[in-house]
Parts: sequence; C-alpha cells; structure tokens
Amino acid sequence: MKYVIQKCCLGMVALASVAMAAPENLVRCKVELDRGVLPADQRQTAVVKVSLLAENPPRELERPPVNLCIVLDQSGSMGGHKIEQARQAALEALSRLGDQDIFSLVVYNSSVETLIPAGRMKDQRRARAMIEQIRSGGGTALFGGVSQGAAELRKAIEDHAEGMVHRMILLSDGQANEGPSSPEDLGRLGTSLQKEGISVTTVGLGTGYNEDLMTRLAQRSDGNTYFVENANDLARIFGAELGDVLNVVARDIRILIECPENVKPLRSIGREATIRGQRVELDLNQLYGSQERFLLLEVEVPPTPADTELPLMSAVIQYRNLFSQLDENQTLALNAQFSRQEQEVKASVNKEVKKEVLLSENALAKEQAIRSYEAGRKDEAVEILRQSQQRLLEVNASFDAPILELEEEAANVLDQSNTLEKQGLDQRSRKVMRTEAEQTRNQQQTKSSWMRK
Amino acid sequence: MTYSRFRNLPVWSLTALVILPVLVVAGVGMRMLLREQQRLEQQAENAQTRLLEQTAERLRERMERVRADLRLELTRLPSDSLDERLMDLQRRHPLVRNVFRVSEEGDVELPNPGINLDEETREFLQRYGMLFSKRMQWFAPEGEKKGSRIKIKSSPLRSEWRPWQWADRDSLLFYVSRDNGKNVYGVEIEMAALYARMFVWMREMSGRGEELVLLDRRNRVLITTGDSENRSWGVSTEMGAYLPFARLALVSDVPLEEGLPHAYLYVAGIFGLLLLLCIVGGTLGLTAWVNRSRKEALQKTSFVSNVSHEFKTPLTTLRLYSELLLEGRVKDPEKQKYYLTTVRTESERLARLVHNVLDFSRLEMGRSRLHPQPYCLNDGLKTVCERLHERFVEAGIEVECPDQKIYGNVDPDAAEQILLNLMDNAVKYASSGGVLRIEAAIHEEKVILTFQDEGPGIPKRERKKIFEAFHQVDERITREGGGTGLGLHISRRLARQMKGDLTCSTSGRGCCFTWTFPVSREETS
Repeated sequence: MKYVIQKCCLGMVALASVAMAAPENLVRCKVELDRGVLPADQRQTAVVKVSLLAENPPRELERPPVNLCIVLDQSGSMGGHKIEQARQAALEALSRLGDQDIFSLVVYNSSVETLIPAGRMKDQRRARAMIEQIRSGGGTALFGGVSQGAAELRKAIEDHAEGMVHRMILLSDGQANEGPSSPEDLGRLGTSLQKEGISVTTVGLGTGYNEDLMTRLAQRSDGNTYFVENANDLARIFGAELGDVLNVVARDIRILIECPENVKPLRSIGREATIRGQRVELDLNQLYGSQERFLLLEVEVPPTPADTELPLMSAVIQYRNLFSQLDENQTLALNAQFSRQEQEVKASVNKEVKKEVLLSENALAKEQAIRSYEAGRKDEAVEILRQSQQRLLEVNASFDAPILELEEEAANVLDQSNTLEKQGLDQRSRKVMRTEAEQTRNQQQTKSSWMRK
Repeated sequence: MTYSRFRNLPVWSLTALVILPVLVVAGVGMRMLLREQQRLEQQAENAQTRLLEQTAERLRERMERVRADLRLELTRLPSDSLDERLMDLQRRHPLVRNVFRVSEEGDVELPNPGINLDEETREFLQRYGMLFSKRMQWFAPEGEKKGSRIKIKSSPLRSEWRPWQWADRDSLLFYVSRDNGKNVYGVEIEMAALYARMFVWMREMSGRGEELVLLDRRNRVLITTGDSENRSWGVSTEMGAYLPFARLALVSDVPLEEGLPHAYLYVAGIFGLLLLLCIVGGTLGLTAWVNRSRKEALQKTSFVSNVSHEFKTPLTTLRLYSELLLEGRVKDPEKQKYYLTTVRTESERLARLVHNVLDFSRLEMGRSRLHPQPYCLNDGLKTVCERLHERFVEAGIEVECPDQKIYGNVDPDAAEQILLNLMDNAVKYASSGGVLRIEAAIHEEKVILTFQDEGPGIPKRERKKIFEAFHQVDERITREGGGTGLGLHISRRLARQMKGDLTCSTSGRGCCFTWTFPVSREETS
C-alpha cells in the first residue's frame, strides 16, 4: 500500500487544499520540511512537519453537539473561596451549553458521587440548584472521579456516538490519594479514554496539586491542561475551555506516515507517536476552529547527490468533519531537494517549522530540567535551560528577521534558569514550567492565566 | 439430739451451699452466652462473606464478558491482514494496551523487535521478554489442566488469560492460537482502563456504608470505592482466574449487625436476673422452711420434756397422797377429804393434759369431726367454772360471767374445751389475782365473747406466736404454771373450724382473749 500512495503523490512538494467557507473545506493539511533544500552527499537529520489547520466554522452552520462531564474536586482543601469559585466555573460552563448538548457532573472526595447524571439540559434550573449545593470535605479519589466521569460520558457514546464532542473537565487542587494515583496510571487511563473519543482537560488549582499527573492525563487523552493559581480565574478558564469545546471542527484525527526504506523515522518531537519501522502513527481526538495541530517528525536522510529529488514520506490524514458529518482524508507527499550550495540551503530554511521545532525542543528541555533538578543535579538542570535558551537565541539570530515569540521564550527561559539557580524549584515554578511545556507540546490554544499577565 | 445440729448450722453456710452451684450454673451459662454471641457474630460475618462472594461473582461475570468480547474480537480477525487488524485493535480498543503476534517457530513478529520502535512498544517487548524469548510456554500442556478428567474433543482453537508481573506491577495478557498452540497472537490489557471500569462496577455494587476494596498480593489498594484510610479490611475473597493476583475486600461502616447480639445480651441479662431472683427467693424460702422445721423440732423436743414434766407432777402428788391414805396414817377426816380432793384434782389435771394431747393429735391427723348445734354457752361457762372453782379460789381470781343467755351454733364439747383452755390460761398466767371478766356481745350474727384478766399481759411480739403449737411464752421447764403449749393452738383451730375465730389483744391492764362464733337463735339445749 505504501508504494501506491507514494507513486500517486510523487513530485508533489507540498499539497494544500484551498480554504473555503464550506463544510467540506474546513480543514487544511500540509507537509513541510524544516529546510526547502538539504545539503547534498551527507547523512543528516531533517524535521518534517505534518499539520492540520482548521478554519473557523461559518456561523450559519450548526455546531456539533457536546457531551460534557465536569469532574469537581470537593476535598477538604477546596474549602471556602475555592469551592465557591469552582461552583461559579461549573455554572459558567453549564450556561454555555444548549438544548442539544449533554451535561453531567461528578464530584469526588474520599468517595465519588454522580451529582448530575448525563442528560440533556432542557431545564438548567435543577442542575444549577445541585451545583449550588456542592460543599467541600474529605480525601481526593481522583482516579475514581475520572472513572465515574468517563462512565457518564460513555452513556451518551453508547447511545449516539457519531458527531458528538466528548469532553471531561477535571478540576483538582490536591494530590490524588485514593486508588491508583501515579502519573503513569492516570496517563494510561488517558490513553485508553482517547480511544473512546474522550478528552480530559485538566485544571490544576493552586500549588498543591500533582502537575505531572494532571499534565500526563491531559496529554495522553488529547485534552488541554491549565494551571490556575488564583481561584478567581477558574470561571474564565472554564469559559475559554468551553469556547474550544464548542468550536470543534473535526475529530478522530489520524495521521499515518510511511517512509521509504532509505529514510528512517527517528522520533516525534514533543508528541508520543507510535513508530513501527518505516511507519509512524499519531491519533488526535479533535481539532478546534482556527487551530493548527501538527506532528514534528525527525527523520534520518541518506547521503544524496545534489539536484536530485528524494521521496521522504507520504502521509494520509484521516478525520471526521463534524460539520459535514463525513469521514474525510487527505493524502500528501514530501520530496526533498539537495544542493551543495551552503547559501542555498541556508536561504531555504522554513522559519515557521524551525520555530515550532525550537519551541518543542525547549519544552522537552524544561521537562528534562525538572527531572534533573529532582534527581539532585541542580547545576545540570540550570545548564539544560541555559543551553536551550542559547539555542533559541542563536537560531533566532540566524534568521533574517528574528521572531518575537522566540525572543520572548528565550527571556522566559533565562528567567526560569536564574530563579532555579538562586531559589531552586518551588511548587509554583515547577507547575508553570511543566504546564508551559505541556501546552507547547500539545499546541494548546488557550494558555494558562499567568501567560496573559 | 439431731435437731441441735440444725441450731448450729448458720444461714450463710446454707446460702453458700446454694450459691456454689448457682455460680457454676452462671459460669456455664455465661460461657454458653459468649459462645452464642460468637456464633451470632460468625453468622453476621458469614452473611457478609456471602454478600462479598456474590459481589465478587458479579464482578467475575463482568470480567468474563470482557474476556469473551476480546476473544471474539481476536478470533474473528482475518488471517491474511492479521498484523494490520491487530494494530487497528490497539488503536481503537480502550482495553487494549499493546498487541503482539508470534510466528509458528515462536519468534515475535509483531511488534518486530528488529525495527525502529517507540518507547512504549520497546518496554512492552521487555516486559514480556520471558515469553517472547521462548523461555516460557504460551500454553500449559493439555494434561496438566486441573480437574479436567473428561476428554473434550480437542479443538485447535486455544486461548489463554495470563496474569503477569513485571517491576512489581501486575498486568494481564490475553492471547489465542488458531493452530493448537502455535501462531499465537493477542493483546496486553490496559490495566488502568480495566480498573477504571471495575471502579464503576464496584461503586454500583457497594451498598450504603459499604466500601469495596480491590487489593493486590501485598495488600496494596488497587481500587477503592471509599475512604481507604481504614487499613483493617473486613472479609475478603480471591478474585479467581480473571484477576488471580487480586482480592476483593468489604469494609462496612455499619458494624456487623450490631443490634442483634446486644439485644440478645439484654434479653439474656434479664433472664439471668430473673433466674438470680428465683434462686435468691428460693434460698430465702428454703432457709425460712429450714428455720421453721428447726423451730418445730425444737418445740417438739421441749413439748416432750414439758409433757413428761406435766405428767410427772400430778403423778407424784397422786402417788404420795394415795400412799398416805393407804397407809392409814391420816386419821383426820378433814385431811383425808383434802387428800382425796387433791387426788381428784390432779387426776383431772392429768386427764385434761391427756385430753389436750389427744385433741391435738386428732386435729393434726385431721380426724376431729365437729358437730355444731345450738348450744347455751352459759351452761358451758358454769360447768367450767365449777370444775376450776378451787383453782380460782386458790389463785384469788374472781370470775364475772355474763348475765344474758348466749346461744351459739357450736359443738358443745369443743366449746367447753375452748372455755376450759381460756380459763385455765387465766388461772395459770394471771395467778396474781384480780377479776376475770367474761363479757358477751352480738354483732352481725356473731357472738363476741371476751375474756379480760388482770394478769401481766402478753408482750406484743409474742401475741401471734402463742397460737402456734408447742409455743410457750416462758419456755423454761422450771417455769411456774406448766402446760403443754397446745391449749391455745387447739382452741384457735377448733374456733376456726366452727366458723369463728380466737384472737388476743392487750387493752390496758392484763390480757384479753376474744372468741367469736356464730349465734344461734334457737333456744334449745
């Protein structure tokens, strides 16, 4: 099969469909290389970016219905202002839903309770009264809460799976302490939920929660993750999240990449794609309107003479368009050009791809720095951040017009490395770094609250 | 005398004799009670175990459904594009973490270890290295399966649900072979997703106040539906073949049917208290009975000595006077007459004594037959007064009899006996002289006859006892007066048999006996 695709698309450097405000043309797919021309006659690595970009759906089209489950932490630590703000946030989310949407609410402390079972919210008054009654107290059975939330979502999935957006919003401010509670366990659960089309958006409140667990769960289930330092921001974050959820254009996205024998896929940068020999796969749950999601794949390119074209890969992108309710797929191919002219190679650099690669690498560097710091190697952690910052600056300087985003990020990383060196890694900075890294890796649209300040 | 031993036997020793067996019985009862409570607790625990077993069975059924679904998924995959379909299964099945296929020779072909793989897949190959490197059998040899004595016609299709442990974590593999143990392919179960489903099932199955906990081999909590702070699990049961490394435990906030053993204890306590009351009451009754018997025995003893003494005194007099008369030494006719009169009085006294003793024994044996008839009491009084005349004179007692005629419906002999006893008593105990006033009144068809003397009277505490058989106010043998202690007893019994009564009271000076009996209007004699 792989050669068939390749032959069909041979000669096409990049294929992009023209954006039009019709339901069938909402998603554009693209493959790009980090450099238009590669240096000839040397073994090298190159980065391929396979991306999907969604248009904002036209207003006259009815949006796909949403199956939303909010899972709220009502443990003892949520007392007072926090639980009050959480109630407001839940109400905010509820108010955005329409008649066609399905809503459920699960609360957990030491035990788990389904406060509002999954159902259509024709009359929101009862649900609102139930939310107003939420009180805090007890432990943190996070695994149970997520399991129960998934069971509520599953009710609608079993009834009418097609064309719905399934989403869980998990709020927690503490360490999970009942049942499975390691980031690994919750990450595995996230992977499983993604297969059912359920994404879990995790909202960590305050500095007491386990960011590893929350980011892993979000990442593996293709949900968003937020670090909310101040409970006052909860309602806004829930609102923004609902903005995303109500704006889903496509779901069940699958990127399938096949490389020819002489090109070796090495790794996917920032994302956990499945690599089997020459084949790379990535599943994403959804694509929001005006969002770009992509896979950065590093490949090993064999020495190739100049002025030849080398087929690097072919990609098939499958998804369900929720506006046309059709399963669509786009086939793309990518050939590399080679040259001995260094100038030509340098001039062909794709700044956008390079930027994404740098930011993803930077995100990985932050995670690596956290790991090093926690292994007791503080100097190494600082060094990792500094190197990443240096790299950001160096590459940015090599561009004819520097990119502002990279400069900002370099300054940010410098700050973080300085803080790390002087004060060590406190709860807050760790959460900021971890969440930033995850949001970058996941190409999240709405960033956490501190990013806006 | 045997009876004197009774006198020395203290009440407490008798009580001790009773209490000792009571304590033994109480001990045995307590033991039985505790055992019963244990039994009830055991019963409650058994009920919980049954409940837990049922829950575990329902969980096993759900697991069986999961297994059956997976088995169906796996067995219906087409052979030609097996790898593709397996990969697809991994991609879309929430309970599948990884997939694999092993060639006929036993080499793992999917995922191919020779090619470039992502980290998760590499770890998967490492995790099950023992199986993939052919160091372990995929299927247990046919014959070794437990309890399968019956030869089932062997099918080439085989499947295995296999628990696995790696880095102290439990996982499960499920694989099939369509080729009798060769060409194995299957899946690794996504444990987190399985536990998430089990959590929801367990939550549905657990009742109010109950907590279901799934524990691994080292008692670590895998899933809990409640507050796992409680580290002492109640009853637990093995999950069996589907999760051989797990145990299901039930923790109940509601103590094991607490109400039951307590209510049982209360009831048992009440019965115990009643039993104790019975025993105490019985002991007291028994003690009273023993005391009474002892007293009666003592009284009988003193009666025998009294009666001997009483008999002896007149006999001595009789013998002395009759000897004097026989010898003819007494010439003075006045003296002779006096001696003879004394002989007669003493023999009368003796006769009276004998009569009393006979009456008593007749009454005791229930042989006395009374024949009440209209009788004039004045005659009886006259007769008795005449008989006792000399003794009244001797004692200096003046008798005042009622003037009016009194007719009662009584047995004449018995009436005479009562009168005699009462007046004889007056002679004996009021010997300091005075007037014995006998008065009669009629009230509600009853004649009330009172005998008021001017003697020393009877102390209050003695007043009831004087009517008891053999009782005497002064029990000394050397007392003055003498008597058997039967007179008043016999009189009261006779009076009561004639639908009347005999009572004693003390008013002012002396003692007053009141005899009531039915009046008779017929003036016959």
